Amino acid sequence: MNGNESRRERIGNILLTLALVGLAAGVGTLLVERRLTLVGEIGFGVAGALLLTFVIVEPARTRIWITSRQVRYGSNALMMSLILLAILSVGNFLADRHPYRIDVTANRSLSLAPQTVDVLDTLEGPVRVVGFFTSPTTRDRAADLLDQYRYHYPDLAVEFHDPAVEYSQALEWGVTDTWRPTLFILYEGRQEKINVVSEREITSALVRLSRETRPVVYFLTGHGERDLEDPGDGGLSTLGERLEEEGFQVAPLNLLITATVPADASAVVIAGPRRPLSQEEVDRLAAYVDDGGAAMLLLDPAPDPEMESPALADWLADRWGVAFREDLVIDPASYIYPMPTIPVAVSYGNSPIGRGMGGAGTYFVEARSIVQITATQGTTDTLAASPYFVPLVQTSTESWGETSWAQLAKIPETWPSYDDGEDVQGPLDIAVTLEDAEGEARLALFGDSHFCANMAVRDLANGDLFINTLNWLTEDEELISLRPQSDVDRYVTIQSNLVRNGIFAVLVVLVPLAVLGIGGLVMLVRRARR
Amino acid sequence: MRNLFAIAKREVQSYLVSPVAYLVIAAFLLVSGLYFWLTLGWMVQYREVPTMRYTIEFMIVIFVFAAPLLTMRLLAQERRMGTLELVLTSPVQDWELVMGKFCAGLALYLMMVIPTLLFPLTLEVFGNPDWGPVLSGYLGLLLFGAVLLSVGLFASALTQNQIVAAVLGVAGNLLLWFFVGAPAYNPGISPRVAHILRMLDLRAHLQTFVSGALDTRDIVYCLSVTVFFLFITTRILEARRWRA
Repeated sequence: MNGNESRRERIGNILLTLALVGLAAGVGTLLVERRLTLVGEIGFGVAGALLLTFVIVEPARTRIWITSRQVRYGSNALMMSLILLAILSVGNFLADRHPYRIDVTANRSLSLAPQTVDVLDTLEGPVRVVGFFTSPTTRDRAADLLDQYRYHYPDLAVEFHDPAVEYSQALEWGVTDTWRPTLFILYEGRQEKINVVSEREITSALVRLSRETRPVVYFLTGHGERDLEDPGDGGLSTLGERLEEEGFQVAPLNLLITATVPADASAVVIAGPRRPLSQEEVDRLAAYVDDGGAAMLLLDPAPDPEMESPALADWLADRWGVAFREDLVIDPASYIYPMPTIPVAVSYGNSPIGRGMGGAGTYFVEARSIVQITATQGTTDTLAASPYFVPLVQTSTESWGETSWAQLAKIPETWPSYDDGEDVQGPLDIAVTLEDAEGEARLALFGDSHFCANMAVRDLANGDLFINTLNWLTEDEELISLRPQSDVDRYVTIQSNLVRNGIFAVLVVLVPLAVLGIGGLVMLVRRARR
Repeated sequence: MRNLFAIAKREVQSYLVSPVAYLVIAAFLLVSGLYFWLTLGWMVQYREVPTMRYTIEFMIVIFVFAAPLLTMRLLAQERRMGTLELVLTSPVQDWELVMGKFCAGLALYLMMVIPTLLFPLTLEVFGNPDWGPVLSGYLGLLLFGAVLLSVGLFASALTQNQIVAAVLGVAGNLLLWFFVGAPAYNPGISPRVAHILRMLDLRAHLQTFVSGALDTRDIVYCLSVTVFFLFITTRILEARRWRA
């Protein structure tokens, strides 16, 4: 009897141990695989069966355990704790579902701008955001930001993937560069892709998605410009396809035939003209831009003065205070090997276009520099209220604008060198943006048109730079003020080392010593009282 | 309620007559003061926006380890010295005892934190900080202190050995501070699970406070965790009554 009982107890212990092993296996696979696998199911199933067997084999022990005072009180306490846990979980769940946030920063930097809220108010129907991130911190920042969007627009679904792990997803969405974040925003059957996580980028994308009509971009023709239909190296067929994909409508425009730029134009692009524009054409273009239009001028270096367009140069100087230099930029510090005439850019100044690039590189094939003519140089006094000039692409300090075409013609046998007094020392602007004081008329100037041609537009982020520039040119007025709020007025200055050391003495030495002093005093008083 | 205050008062008094409390407070002020001074130099040199963000984060990291040192003796010592039975048989209710001890810990915590207000005042003297994030950061500091102290108190109720209580408390705090949320940053984890883990992650709730936002989610979380640990601490004391 006794031996029987002890054997039964031993069997019971073995059963319990095995049940625990099964349970551990189940939980373990659940943790590792993050889903219920066959192994996990078997583990849990075996554990349940073993426990049941234990109850059958050891009914007395089971009864004692269940009915003991400890278990009774214990299970009571456990039950109460579980109920409290459930209540608290529900509370947290509700708080998570209906978050309420107060932004206590002085410039409301943690709140969405009113313009964004207005944009969200115009949306109808679900918005889906698909993000690809390799960096968890960027992913969390995106999650926080999109959380604020969802706070105002609950019908917004967010899903994030890691392109390095979820390779098939990345392939499906065509995400190739994994080093920078990629966000797809889907709305009403259309999608926008952005590479920078910021309120400005996301809201701009939503504005573009919610536009009823697609913006029309006209490409000037008639002067040997790069052609949208040309599939050759120097053509723009690839760019044209990309623009259609990104939601633009593209069309050719001949200002010699049409008296005005069509009213539906969102922007006019002049890509590498080989012959000068006539005065009438420039007047028509100027009338369109002054009326709140936008133009993108890509002018290549012109070894032959016949290629230059005096009418265009006059308008740029008089109206906008800028000029294309008659040079070719040589950048020995940042270029595509082995050609210092192909400068590479990886940063884009403070330009809003550059902020959308996320640090991606671009390159330019034989570019000329652009210069801002200051009022004192006085080419003109008709210069209206000073336009807002922002450099977009700048070459290095070691670069220069070579002005001797004779020297340039000898490349690659001999490389030109910097000639003091003749050439212009860098840094040089090879792409700039301009907008008038009202922020209505906008210009983007590029000293090169090769970068968007078929030969180069797929390389690096050249295509992105063109698209981002067009997005900026065709952007709605309401978003212009959505620049990141600056904290320039917040500062802390300590001039002298004496003050710095004084702060150290007070905060790091005196305050802790004072606490120790008070403690010592208390001890002394207590000892004296005894 | 009167009992609660009596217990809290007694505990605070016993804190203040021991040299350990002053040493702990002084060491804390020394380390956080040094850290603030370093960030101040950084703010001046790189013309950064004056902020208390990093100092507050640093202070909370210290408290992850220091809070159990404040709470370790609160219940463990009573048990070791046999005074717990005395208290338990007195007309003091269990929750009053737990809350009294907790309030005493919180009071000492405030004594450590309040002198650090000199840091933002320094920023005010030599610059113009944004006081919104500073104050929300200090509110976060208070709520996080409550969480970390409640975990420490729970650990103190589990054992009669103060060292064990401290180690358990630090382990518990680290679990909440780091280990719960860590898998959420695993790239392959499903977004739903990651979301739940981030909800549980103490560290994730700090960001909004220090960046200058008050979010109901964070406040509800901190209060929930504190209430939960104080509740189960009370249940454990209760268990002493009916345990043989």
